[in-house]
Amino acid sequence: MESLLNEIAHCVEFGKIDLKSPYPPDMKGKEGAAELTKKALDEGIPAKDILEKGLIVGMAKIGIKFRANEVFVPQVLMSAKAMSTAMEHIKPLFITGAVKAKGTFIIGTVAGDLHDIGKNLVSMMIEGNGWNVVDLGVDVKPEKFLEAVKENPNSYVGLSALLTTTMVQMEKIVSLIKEDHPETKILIGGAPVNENFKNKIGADFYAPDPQGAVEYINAGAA
Amino acid sequence: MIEKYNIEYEKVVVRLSDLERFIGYSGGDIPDLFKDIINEILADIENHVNPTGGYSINEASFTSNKNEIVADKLIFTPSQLITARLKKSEKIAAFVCTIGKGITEWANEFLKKGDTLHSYICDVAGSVLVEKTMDIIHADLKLKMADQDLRITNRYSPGYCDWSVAEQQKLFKLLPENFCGITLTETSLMNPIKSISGFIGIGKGVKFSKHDCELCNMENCVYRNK
Ligand code: B1M
Repeated sequence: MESLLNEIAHCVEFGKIDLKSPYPPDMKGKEGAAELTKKALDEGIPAKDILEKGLIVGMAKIGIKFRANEVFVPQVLMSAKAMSTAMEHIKPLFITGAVKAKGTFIIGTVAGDLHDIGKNLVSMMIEGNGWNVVDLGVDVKPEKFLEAVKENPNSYVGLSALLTTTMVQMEKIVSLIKEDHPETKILIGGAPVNENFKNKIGADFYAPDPQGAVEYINAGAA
Repeated sequence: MIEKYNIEYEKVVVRLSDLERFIGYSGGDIPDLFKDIINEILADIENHVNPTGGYSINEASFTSNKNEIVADKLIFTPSQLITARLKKSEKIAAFVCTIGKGITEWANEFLKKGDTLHSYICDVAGSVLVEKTMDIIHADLKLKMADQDLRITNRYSPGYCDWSVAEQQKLFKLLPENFCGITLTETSLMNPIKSISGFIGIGKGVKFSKHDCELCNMENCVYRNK
C-alpha cells in the first residue's frame, strides 16, 4: 500500500497526469496519478489515505520546490492537473463522507484588479492540499467577499492584488469582514503587498507565495 | 505632436527563446511538452493580437527641486530615480502600447476548458509581445529624433521604481481619448490587460542606458537583466 501511495505522490510532484500524458519525459508510457488513484481505490485503500498520504504529499512537495525557485509555473500547473484529474475518482466519496475537506478557503483578486495567474496558482495549491476552494474570480467587490463568508462560516479568506492602487481595497475588505466576523482569518498576497502592509490593514497573515498560504491555513486546521 | 502605429505581427514576432526565459527555462532545458505548447501558441498568436501603440511629444520642464516633471502643464512626480534619468529632457514622449484584448480572451478560453498550461503560455506570450511591440515604436522614435539631432532615454512606466501607478491618470491626459483603444479604470488599470504606458525623455543631453535594472529593487522580476 505504501509504495502505491508513494507512486501517487511522485506522479503529482512530477506532473504525471495519466498514462497518455507525455510529461514528464522520463515517465512517458507509464501510469499516472489518475490510473494509480483508481488502482488504489480498487485495492481498497481508504480514500482518506490516498488523499493525505499520496496526492497531498505530492502537492506539498511541488509547493516547496516552487517556493525555492527549483521549479517554474508550468511544472506547478502540470502537478495541479495531475492532482485534479486524480481527484475525479475521489470526489464522489466526499458525498458519502468517506473523505472530508480540511475546510473552506475563499479567494479572489480585489476590486479594480484583473490579475489572475497568481490567484489561480494559490487556489490550485490550496485545493490540492485538501481544501474546498470558493474562487470568486477577479475584480471582486468587498461585499461579495462578505457574502461568501456568510455563506461559508469558519472559512479562511485569501485576497490577491498586483497593483499598489488596488491593494488598498484589501483594507476595506478586511474591515468589512472583521466587523461582522472578527474570527475570520484573512490572508493577503501579491507582488506589491508585504508584512508591514498586512499589519497596517489588520489582516492576519501575509503569504509571499502559495506554499506560505497553504502552510498557514493547514496550521490553523490542525 | 501625436504619432500612432499599427504594427503587423510579422514585424514583431515572439520566439520560443523569448518565452523560455520568461517562464524560467533560460538554459535550453525546457521539456518537449512545454516547447510544443509554446510553438502551438506562437503558430496561431497572430490571429489573436492587434499590436498598436503611439505617443504624444510634449514640451518638458522641471520644477526647481528637479523631482517633478512638467509636461503640457501637468505636473508628474516620478521617483527621484526616474527623474534623475529624465532630467536633461527637453521633451517628453508619453506613450501607450497594446496588443488588444483578443489574447486575453484566447487565454480565458483555454482556462474555461481547464487547460491551464495553454492559458498560461498564451498570457506570457502576450506580455512579451506588448513589450516587443513597444521596442519597435521606441526604435522608430529614436530614428525620428536622431533626424533632429536629439537623443532619447529608456522608457519609464508609472508603477515601476516607486513612480505611483496612479499617475497614469495624468499620463493619459497627454493622449487623445481612447487612444489605441486603451481605457483606464479608476484604479489605473489599463484595458486591454496587455497594455503598457510610460515616458521617454528626449533631448540633446539625455542618454539611453543598457542596464537600467539596477534602478529597481525587484530581485525576482522576470524582466531583470541577469
Ligand atoms: C491570498 O494569498 C496569496 C498568497 C500569495 C499570492 C497571492 C495571494 N496572490 C499572489 N500571490 C503570490 O503567489 C503567486 C505565485 O508565486 C505570485 O503571483 P503573481 O501574480 O505575482 O505571479 C504570477 C505567477 C506571475 N506574475 C505575473 O504575471 C506578473 C509579472 C510582472 C512582471 C508583470 C507583467 C508580466 C506585466 N505587466 Co506589470 N507586471 C508586474 C509583475 C512583476 C512581478 N515580478 O510580479 C507588475 C504587477 N506590473 C506592474 C506595473 C506597474 C504594470 N504592469 C503593466 C503591464 C504589464 C505587462 C502587460 C507587460 C505584463 C502583463 C500583465 C498582465 N496582467 O497580464 C502595466 C499595467 C497593465 C495594465 N493592464 O494596467 C503597469 C502599470 C506598467 C505600465 N505603466 O505600463 C507592477 C505593479 C507595481 C505597482 N506599483 O502597482 C509590477 C509588480 C512590476 C513591478 N513594478 O515590479 C505571488 O505574488
